[in-house]
Amino acid sequence: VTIQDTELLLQFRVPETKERAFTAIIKKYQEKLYWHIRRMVVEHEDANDVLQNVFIRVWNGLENFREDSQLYTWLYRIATNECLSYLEQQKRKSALSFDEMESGLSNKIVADKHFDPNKLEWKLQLAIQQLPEKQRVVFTLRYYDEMPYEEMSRVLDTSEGALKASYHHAVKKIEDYILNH
Amino acid sequence: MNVNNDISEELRSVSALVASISRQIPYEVPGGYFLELPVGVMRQVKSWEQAKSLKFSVPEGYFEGFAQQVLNRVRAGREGDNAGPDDQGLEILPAILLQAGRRTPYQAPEGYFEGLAPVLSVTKDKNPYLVPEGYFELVPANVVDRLAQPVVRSIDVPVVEEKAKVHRVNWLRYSAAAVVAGLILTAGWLRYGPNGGHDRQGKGKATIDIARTMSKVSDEELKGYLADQDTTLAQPVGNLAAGLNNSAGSNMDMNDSDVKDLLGNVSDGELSQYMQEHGEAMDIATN
Repeated sequence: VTIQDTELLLQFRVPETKERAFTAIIKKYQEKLYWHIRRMVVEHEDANDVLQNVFIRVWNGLENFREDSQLYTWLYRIATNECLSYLEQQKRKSALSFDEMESGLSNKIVADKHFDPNKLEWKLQLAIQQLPEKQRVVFTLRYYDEMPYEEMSRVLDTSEGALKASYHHAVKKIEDYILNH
Repeated sequence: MNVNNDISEELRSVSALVASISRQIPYEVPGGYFLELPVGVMRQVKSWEQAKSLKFSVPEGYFEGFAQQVLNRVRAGREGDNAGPDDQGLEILPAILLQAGRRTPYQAPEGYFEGLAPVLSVTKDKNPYLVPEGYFELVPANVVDRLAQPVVRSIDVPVVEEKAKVHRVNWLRYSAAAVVAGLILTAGWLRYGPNGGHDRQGKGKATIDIARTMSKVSDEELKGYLADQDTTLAQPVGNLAAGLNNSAGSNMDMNDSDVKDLLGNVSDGELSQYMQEHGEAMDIATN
């Protein structure tokens, strides 16, 4: 736990400073969590809903947060679970299969007003959406958030070896996609 | 620094193509989103906290005395009967519901029902029925007049009529039953009574009539009748025919041609045998 996070957690446990401490936590992690979520759910409105749910969960659980792990890791864990729950919920609502869901997310990317099929950044986003959900999370945490496997294993509750293999497979699939599209 | 280098090296070793792609995310965020987000989240958190604090509460010690309270009510029994119609049933409700009452907290927008059914709203205060002019002024006087009149049990009339109707129906039924029973008894008496049936009674009447008639018949008339009877008995073929036809039980007057027809099929031998066996008859016949 960084010193700053420790200080924020102490302030959160005091009723007079609780809201101020929580606002500081939001400000500190909102962008990282937002982009992590956004890469998973693609659309801003969805990302906003998920992010707000994440912070409400954080508010409810922060008093019981055990400081044996980093606040940052704990927040990512909540955000990732909330993302996966949201996607699962969307699948149930629209009764879509996994493949249909992937193509649905790809369609959302293509529908973005800034979408440019010739730019590799956009192709990469389309390639990421072809990945299975778990591989997608592993790839984005490693590629964009530069998260070490050790932390990632705490976030995803998976062994480091499995995460390395998953990341390797994900990169290969993305390469294939970009070469063939 | 080390981590970033490790990640870049790792990626490059797996795919040089993917490692060459910019890590810049192409998505955009609405302007000022991250500035407003903490305020928005805090607003949501507060409203959530308020909703969470809206808990139902009961008066202190409510549950401790609750069982005894219910038992007292059960024992009292009739206590609830004295309650007004609006209060009936409320006394068994928990105190919190009693406080809430039965008033609904919802309100309809002003003029909602008028807009819903304009015709009804126009006609709701208008009574379509009319009463004779000055009717209500006369009502007290009419009532007093009625009270002054002798008491007429007009209320009992329908009940009495109803009973009479029932009695009338019953009497009709009983009368019909009595007539039928009388007919059955009479028929039985006539059939199986001491004088016997119609036949026996008829015979008795015939016997009485013959005795009376015979007492009126003179001796000369009787002698003449017997003389006629002798003449009839002297006819042998008639007797024979009567003997032959006894099984039929009928008295027939037969002439010679009839006898020929009857005996035409009988052989002479049979006739001779018959004559030998009934000698007297032969004598009579040959007489």
